Amino acid sequence: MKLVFLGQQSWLFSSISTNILIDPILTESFGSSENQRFWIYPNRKIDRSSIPKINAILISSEHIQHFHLKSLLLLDRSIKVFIGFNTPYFVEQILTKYGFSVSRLEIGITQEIGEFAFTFFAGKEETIDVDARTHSILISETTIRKSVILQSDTTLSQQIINASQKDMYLEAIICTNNCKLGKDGKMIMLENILPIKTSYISGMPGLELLFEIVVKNVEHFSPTVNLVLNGSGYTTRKDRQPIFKWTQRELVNIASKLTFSNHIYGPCPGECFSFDDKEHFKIDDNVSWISQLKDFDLKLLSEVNYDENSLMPYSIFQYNNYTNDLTYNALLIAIEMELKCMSKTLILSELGADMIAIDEYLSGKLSEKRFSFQLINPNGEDLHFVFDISQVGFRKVTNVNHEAIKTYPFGMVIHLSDFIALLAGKIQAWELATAGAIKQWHVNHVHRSPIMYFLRHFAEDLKPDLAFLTYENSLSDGTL
Amino acid sequence: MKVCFLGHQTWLISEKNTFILIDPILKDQFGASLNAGFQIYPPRNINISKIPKLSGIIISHEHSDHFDIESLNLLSRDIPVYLGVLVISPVVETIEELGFKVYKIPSLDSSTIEFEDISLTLFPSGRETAFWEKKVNQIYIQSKHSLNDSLFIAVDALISDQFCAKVNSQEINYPKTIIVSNNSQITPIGVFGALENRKMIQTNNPFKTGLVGLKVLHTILFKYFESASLPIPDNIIICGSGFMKDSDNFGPFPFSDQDELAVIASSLSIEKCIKGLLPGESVDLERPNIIEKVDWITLDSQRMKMLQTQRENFIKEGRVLIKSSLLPDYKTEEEKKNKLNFVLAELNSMIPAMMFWDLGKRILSLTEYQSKPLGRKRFVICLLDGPEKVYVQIALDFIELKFNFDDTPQDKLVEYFPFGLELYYRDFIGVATGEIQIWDIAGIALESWYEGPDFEGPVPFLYSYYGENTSPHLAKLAYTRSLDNLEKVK
Repeated sequence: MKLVFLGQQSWLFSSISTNILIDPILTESFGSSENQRFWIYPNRKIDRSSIPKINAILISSEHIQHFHLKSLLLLDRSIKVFIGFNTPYFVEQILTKYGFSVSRLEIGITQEIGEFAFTFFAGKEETIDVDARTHSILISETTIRKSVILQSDTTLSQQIINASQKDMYLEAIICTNNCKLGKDGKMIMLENILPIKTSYISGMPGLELLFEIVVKNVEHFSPTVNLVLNGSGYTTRKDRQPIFKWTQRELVNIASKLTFSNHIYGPCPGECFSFDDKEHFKIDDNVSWISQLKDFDLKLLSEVNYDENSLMPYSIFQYNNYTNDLTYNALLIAIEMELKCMSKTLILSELGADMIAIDEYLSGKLSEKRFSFQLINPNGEDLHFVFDISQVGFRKVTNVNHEAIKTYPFGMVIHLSDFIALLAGKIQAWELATAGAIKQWHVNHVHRSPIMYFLRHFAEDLKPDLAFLTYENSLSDGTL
Repeated sequence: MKVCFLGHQTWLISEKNTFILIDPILKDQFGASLNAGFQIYPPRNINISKIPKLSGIIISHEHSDHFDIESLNLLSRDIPVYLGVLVISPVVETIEELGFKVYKIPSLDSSTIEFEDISLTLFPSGRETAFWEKKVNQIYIQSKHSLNDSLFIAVDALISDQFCAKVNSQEINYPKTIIVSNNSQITPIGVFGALENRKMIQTNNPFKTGLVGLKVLHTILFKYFESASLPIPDNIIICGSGFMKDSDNFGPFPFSDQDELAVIASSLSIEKCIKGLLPGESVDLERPNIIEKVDWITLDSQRMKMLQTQRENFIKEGRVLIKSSLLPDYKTEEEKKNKLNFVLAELNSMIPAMMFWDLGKRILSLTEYQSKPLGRKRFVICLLDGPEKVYVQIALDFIELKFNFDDTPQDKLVEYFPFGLELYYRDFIGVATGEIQIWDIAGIALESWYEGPDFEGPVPFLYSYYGENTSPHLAKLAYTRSLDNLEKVK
């Protein structure tokens, strides 16, 4: 079996006569909108004409870093697409619409294609909600009875651990490092703009991270199992410089010094691994059709996306001048309708529970208003809403913008144009947050913070129609 | 300081010239819906005109067994009413409409309410309290004449973390007396309880087997304090479950005669005084062993005895209660059928909130059920139009996240679906449109089965979703009806 790393969490697995792609991103970047690209990092270009003939595509998760419709549409529609049982329906729906035939594989049921056999597994119960429908995949080459686990964005369940140890030899685990720590030591997507230290970034995040992704994954398996790190393989910067604190390679270099028995790898796109009936897992020659990009267009360097230290969110979408009052009023109604939907999910969320439980803040006494939601509009009036627990609803307020962070213990700031783009299906919430277009403050655990709530509220499975629309819209721009 | 019990969870706290009424239920029944009245047990009669002159009324939270419009209507409008800051606005609006002046008190030490002889502080519920009880305020009362004379009313929620912190930092004296609630609402064997799980057969149903009553006592008198890392106080007063949901059948809840439970508990403890008062009984906190009686509350001992006998017979005869609908069914089949689209739309609009709540999380994370992999359908709602007669069955498709009509045979439901809910079609529409409250059918016309803990199943989700704290607009409808009814009676 030969494993070719395509970047981020994309892989090509090849045997003598069979090739399968997993979560393929074949373009230089992914994303719903040309206004905000997510460039694969380390940067690379794929010569698609040289990709071997593909026999099957496996999609582990509905998220755009895994399910990239535009890349799939570059492939032949006769290739069968396999999704895990828990995948939201819209994935199947849109792939079918564009001519693919899709098979939804039951959890734990093995499918064979050529020399490959693969099985989808759900994650452990404690996986966070937004990743609850993500699958880990056990892939084996039946002729040599050797296999690989692809973790994807979930925790490995006991089921997959058991299955991997049944009359087969597990060569490697491809584990996911989704560390959100940025170059500047701040969190990508989830930074808290309140100047309070959180355990996540104060202590020893690198040590905790490695413990989590390496030690905890390995302890269920044979002490000699090989580990391959992938994930966080993109950048939002136009100059395509990295945004994350550590590359996989850096982490691997450290981890490798701390073990007797395990081999740990952090490949760059184009790098390969292989094993067969005689030989164990080893590094193989790079493929020629993936070229690493080293030279950037220098003029792009001056166009760095945003000031990462800014307390203000970065703006992705341009403002229309809302000269037509009718359009503006219609927008306001759409926003207020969405806020009404948000009220019920917010009050019943973990963030809601924390909002009820807190009893003091910087300003001393807390009123029933505890969550601030600001939509910035440099071309007109800012819209500022606060969530009132007594009324279970958002109320519009005026003239408190600058005091909001001191008055309310929880808050989010986003550009009006970007929020409208989200509601209109031009971009996903995850993309906004990752690109720094949403700022938040909170006094609770980061996993229960406003942005985590927001990501869940706008998650693909809870808003399938919006997810479908956003994917459709993503096809209409020319970016590849 | 003296504490006088008026029934269920209503208290009159007094110190010298100061009289504070807490959560007044003064009539012989309460309930926010006209179709459902819950009779107070033990039955008693209160002579309103003889209640001492009040300095204030405290309403700890919004539930109808604590906030009763008809009772408030009997009181003088010049008494200030105090509420916690997070109480839903319709409660405030309703009390104001009755003509009272309302004060919303932030739950902070600095927001102590000062009366002539006592000061009173509201504390928020403990962090892990169930969602529908999260806005309960726990009340700390301190006499202004003696530092040792204080009381904590810690009912309906876990003990406030903020209270514990203040006790630990010695900012407040740990009170000698704490009032706790027994909300177990255990039902007889033949009556399916509100949080029971249909999957539990008689032999392993924790609500029905083993030493049920002992488990209740252990929970409210021991675990309650242990989980907050507080010592067991010298004196504990037990209250709660002081009403009947179904006075015609089994009557009062078993293991809810707090006076009897207190005697048992006292005999199992050393140097602790545990009291369960009957309505009209009063104790001076300095001498908790001596029970006094007030003359303006008369216990109806005869009816109390009768109800106890009725309950005993119900249990002895092994009677079974078949659930019936609270609201009368639609007059015509057509009218009934026309509501189907509403019901489906209502259920579908509930999904996002459900997925944020424990039930949805569990539906999402469950991978197998009864050792078999799960199918697409994971949660079924059976809407009845007669005893055990399903009118329509609706199931959640987990892949599409949509409710659809379903035709799984009734005898296969528990085997197929890990989560299920059964209630009357008419009642569901009544709850969704605010004709009745979810609490009205809880325990009498609502059954479920589920995986996971009993506070995370379909019924607690309905409590959370249709309860006042998520759907204040529905509560508002109930309050408006009560106010209109007061007008009519006038």
